[in-house]
This record gives sequence, structure tokens and C-alpha cells, in this order.
Amino acid sequence: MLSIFKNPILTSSLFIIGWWAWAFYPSTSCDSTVLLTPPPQKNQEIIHLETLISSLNRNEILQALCGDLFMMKELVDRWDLDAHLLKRHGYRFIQCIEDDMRYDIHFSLRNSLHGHKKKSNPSYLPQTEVAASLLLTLIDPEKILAIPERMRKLCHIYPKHKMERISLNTNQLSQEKLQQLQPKICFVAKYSHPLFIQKLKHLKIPYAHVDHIQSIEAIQNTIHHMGALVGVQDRANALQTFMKAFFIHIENRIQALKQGTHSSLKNVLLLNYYMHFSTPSPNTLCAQLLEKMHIKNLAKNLTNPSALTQWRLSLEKEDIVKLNPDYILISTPYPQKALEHMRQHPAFSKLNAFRKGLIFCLDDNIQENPSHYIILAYLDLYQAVYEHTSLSQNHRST
Amino acid sequence: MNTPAYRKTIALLSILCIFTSIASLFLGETPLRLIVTTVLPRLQGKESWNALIDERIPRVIITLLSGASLALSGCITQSLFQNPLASPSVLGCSFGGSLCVTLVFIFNLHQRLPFSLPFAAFLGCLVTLIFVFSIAYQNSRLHLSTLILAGIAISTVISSIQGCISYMLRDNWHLLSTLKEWENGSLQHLTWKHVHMQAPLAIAGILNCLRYHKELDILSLGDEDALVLGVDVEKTRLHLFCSIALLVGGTLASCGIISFFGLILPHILRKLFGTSHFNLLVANIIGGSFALTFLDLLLRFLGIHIFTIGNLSAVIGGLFFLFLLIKKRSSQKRIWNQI
Repeated sequence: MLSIFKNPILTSSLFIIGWWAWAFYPSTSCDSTVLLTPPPQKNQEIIHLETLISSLNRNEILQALCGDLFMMKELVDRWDLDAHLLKRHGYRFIQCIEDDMRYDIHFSLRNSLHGHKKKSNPSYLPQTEVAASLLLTLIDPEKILAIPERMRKLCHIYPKHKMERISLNTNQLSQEKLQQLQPKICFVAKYSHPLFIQKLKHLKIPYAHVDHIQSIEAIQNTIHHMGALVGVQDRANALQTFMKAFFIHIENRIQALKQGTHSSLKNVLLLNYYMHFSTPSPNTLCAQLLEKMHIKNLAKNLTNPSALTQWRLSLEKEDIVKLNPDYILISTPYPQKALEHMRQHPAFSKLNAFRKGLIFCLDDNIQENPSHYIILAYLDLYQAVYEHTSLSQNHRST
Repeated sequence: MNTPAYRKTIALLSILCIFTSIASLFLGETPLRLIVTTVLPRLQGKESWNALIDERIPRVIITLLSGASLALSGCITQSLFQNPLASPSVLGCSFGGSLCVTLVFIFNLHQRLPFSLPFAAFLGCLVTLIFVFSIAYQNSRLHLSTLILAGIAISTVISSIQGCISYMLRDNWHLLSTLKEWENGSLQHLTWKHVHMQAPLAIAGILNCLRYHKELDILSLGDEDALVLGVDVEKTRLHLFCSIALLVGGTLASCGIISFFGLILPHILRKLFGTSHFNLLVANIIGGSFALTFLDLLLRFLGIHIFTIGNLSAVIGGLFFLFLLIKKRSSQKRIWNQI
């Protein structure tokens, strides 16, 4: 028996296996996982608000974002009515939807119904997901030559019936294919490979740069710019108006709730999770959305010089414990894993958000989408913080 | 031989190592007062978490183990291959381990089987080392120029395979981001789980290396002389390869790739302490622990987040590697001119 220990390889192997067996063998007697408190029920203010005004229907908003002008019109009219109702009930700081804004949608709807049929049938090529998602909303799918392959997996965001009518993916386009298809305009990113731009110049295909999106205003500008280039300015205006109307409506809801028990500033921490936690830096769209929500974004307390250049700031558990947020919003592709991670680490059980059950998981494909679908991101954030619901993961495609 | 100068240097390194480790324990977001008041309840099981016990101590342990492992593996590699330019990174060992770890991340094995990560790292390192050695060892002789070239060639092949994998997964941003973070070597997000992954490998590797210090002294005379003096050269070499793989594999599993760390320090310590392997190995263990802990403390104290300790080590080590190459070339040129 003792001779086994004279062989260093065998001794080392036994030592290592023994250690790992002791360290990683699951113990049934001691369960270190902690139960997550379920989120509290909606409070009286929210219930009262929902009796006064219309509820937010995610499917309808998604339908409007996919290009349904009728739905856009209906929602904008509804939100305008809600604003008037809130004012009548004495709520302060409520904004109504301006008539000019509503006319944009009415005008666009009228044009689409009585539209002049053009003889030519131009086609467009979007290189990026932002450009493709905008084109899917603004024009017929027959006019889109190809879309990024990744979009086809996100049927819970982008309209499946439209994507199915586009047979090609952007990564399948060779120079020969491009020459054959001859798109009217190619929408390229500013970081495109120089050889691809050269290819377009060689084939005499006009191209337009899609700006790097770093703000909500940049999204609006991109919609305006692309709408003008593809000749659907009225639809682009309608989409811009719809976005503005949505932000006004959410602002009205927040103002109404703040005039009740939601008046205190909420401490919110937005996290990203893959294998560990990080938080979006102030440069990101998510952080800008949180700014609009009248909450205290605790990530600002962590600002260090490198935050100005980075998108994400890695967080140690000590950082999260020190911040001790009232609300934790986790943008992740794996909500169950994120919650499991929180349950398994005792550090998180000390947090206010954990004790009150105010931890919500959000779909990162929506939170990190720099297009007009940012509206859904804002909806998810609002519903998590003010209505204590998180619907985004229910809408994932399987 | 333990000269007074050697003893003084080791004592100084040890004190510096202890000092930087303690300083590292004090650095963090949680106020010291809160940590101190909750330490005892945590040890008694009344508290479920304490920043010092659950976050800072594991980090310091891993930093110490990783520093010791990388320096020691570099020293052994240089001794085995009798080449001051040899290190686990140059020989492709780190890349081999990193490829296996990448596959573990992709198939998510580490979530179900926590020890799959260090095991894959160890296996990758060992297979790469044996492969590089078998290319360079021909006709009972180790061809040193072939050795370095083989290491670079293997590293290139493995890097290209990893490049293919990255391209195939280009739509999975999160996985690519995680792999990129890991490839650059980081001492963040370390817990007792990482300690359990690395510690047995590091302890086994360190003890095995110390066990063979006499054989290393004899092997420096050459294979034939070692055989004559009764050393089982093949077996010793294999056991030392396994030790290198354990040391590098453990570090890969917990911190990712920290390249060239095993090049600079052993080289400098060899010039300071000579070629007696027991002294050299001990100096590398303590010196490596101190160096990595100090670098980590420096980055955290200065609040530098834009690059990692792996980046810093690669830049400094890469420049040092170039310096050694240029120096070697100039000395060879001088010899030729004299002839």
C-alpha cells in the first residue's frame, strides 16, 4: 500500500482527485442556496392608475414597431386620451400628445392606403441589424435583398412573416451576387471592412453609412435619414412620432405614480450577466433610458476614469453589496442562470432588492438593441421598476 | 549552497510577499470596520458572507499560487530544455491548455462539472508539451532551435484553431466576450471554488518539482552524464512535464492566460542565485508569488481597469524576450567576429 505513494504521479493523482471530490461533491445535508423572495404584488397606486387609463399591451406595441401604421395610430390616440384623463383627475406635469404629432401618423396612414404605385421596384441591402430592422419596419420585405442571419433567431422581436420573405443572409453575398442583385443603396456601418466599401465602389453601388448609435436622438436621426433615402419619409416621420408619443406616455405614467407612494427616489442597479456580473457604463443606451425614469442609477457611484471609454464595468460582489440597491435589473440571455447565481452566493442575500424580491430579468437582445426597438427596452425597465413585472423572458423564442 | 546573500534575499522576498498579500487584503469596497465586525460571526456560521473571507482571501491565495506556479514552471522549463528563452508560453503550453478550456466554456461543461476546467487545462498543457518535445528530441538529442520553432508553430496552429472557433461563434457576443476576458488573464471574480480548482494542482506541482531538484542539477550536465550518474532521464523528464502541466493548468483554470511571466523572473533569479536548483526553485516560488501579488496590487491601487494583469505581463515579457534574442544575437556576432 505504501509503495503507491512512492510513485509521484499516482500520489499526485490521488491527492488531486481526493481534494476535488471533497470540494465539489454535492452535499445533500447543507444546501447553500437561498430562496428568492417572490416580487411584491402591485400596490394600490398602480391598480388605481390601471383603472383610470389603458394598460400597456406589449404585443400591440411590438406590432406597431414592426410597421403597422393602424396600430401606431390607435396607440397614439389612446395615449393622448390617457393624458387628458390624467389631467382631468388632477395629476400634475402631464403632457398631451400634440396634434402635429398625431397628424404625422394620420398622413402616413392615408398615404399608405392611397399610395402612388411606383413602376420601379428598387431593392436595398442593409449590412447591420439596425439598418435591417428599420427597413423591415419602413418598407416591404420584397425590397430588402438580405438580412443579418442573427435576426432570424430573434422572432420574438422581429416580424417572422416578413423575414421569411427575404431568402438571403448578408454573409452569403459574394461580389458576383452583389453585381447580379445591384441594390439601389447599401446601408453600411462606419466600421465596415474597407475592402467591402471598395467592392461597392467598384460595382458602382451607392452606399450610405449608418451612424454609430449612442443616444435616443441618434436613433431618431437614423430613422429620418434612412426614411429619406428609401423614399418613405412619411412612414419614417410616423415611426419617430410613435417613439416620441411612447416616451411621453411613460413619462405621464411615472409622473402619476410619483404623486402617490412612488414619490421616493428608487435605487436601481442595472446589471449584465453572462458568467459574472457587470454594469453598463453611462455611455450606453440602457444608462440613458434609466436617466429618463426618475430613478437613481447606482452604477454612477462606481464611475472611474475608464468608464468613459468602456461599455461595461465589471463588478465584484463587494461592489454590489456596497451599493445595496433596492431594485436589481439583470439584462441577460440566461435569466435562470443569473437568478441561480444570485441564490447560490450568500453575499446577495444581504441586499435590499433580494430581501424584497425586487430582482427582475430582462431580455438582453432587447436591452442592447440600438434601433427603434429601444421602446421595448424602456417598457421592460418601466414595468420592472414601477409595476414590478418582468414579461420579457416570456416572449423569448424557443 | 545557502550563502548569507541568498538567505537575506529570500528573507526579504518573503517579507515583501507577506506585506503585499496583507496590503491586498485591505483593498476593496467594503469598509474595514464592517469587515472586522462580521469576521467572527462568519467563522461561526452566523453570517453567510464576509468580504474578507469569501472574496479577498481567495483572491490573495490564487494570486500567490499563480505567481509561484508560473515562475516555477518557467524555471523548470528553462532547466529541462537548457535554454533561457524557454517558457511554457513560448513552448505553446499555455495555448494548448487554453484551447481545451475554450472547448469547456463552449460546451458549458464547467457549470455541471466544476473540475472539468482545471482538468482540461492540465490535459491541454501536457499534450502540447509532449508534442513539442517529441518534435525537438531526435536521435537522442534535444535540438534547441527546433524546440523554440516547434513551440511557436504549435502556438500558431492552436491560435488559428481558436480563431476559427471565434469566427464560428461570432454571433454569440457574450461567449466571445467571456473568452476574450479569459484569454487576457484576469484576477477578478475569484472565489473559493477557484481556489479548490487550482490549489491541489499547484501544491502537487510544486512538491513534485522540489522533489526532483537533485535530478535537475544532474540533468544540467547532459543526458548521457545523467544516465551514467543513475538518473532515469525519461521518467524524470516525464514527471517534470506533468508537474509543469499541473502548475500551468491550475493557473489557466483560475486566471486565464498570463503569458511570459515564467520567462522573466526565472531568468533574473538564475543570474542572481546561480544554478543550484533547490535554491533556485525556492527563490522562484517566493519571488513569483511576490511579483504577481505586487503587480495585481499596483493595478488595483491605481484603479487601472482598461487592461489586465495578463496584458501587462505579456507586454513586459514580450519586450524582455526580444531583448534576450537581440542580446543573444549580438553575443553570437561578437564570437564570430573574434573567430
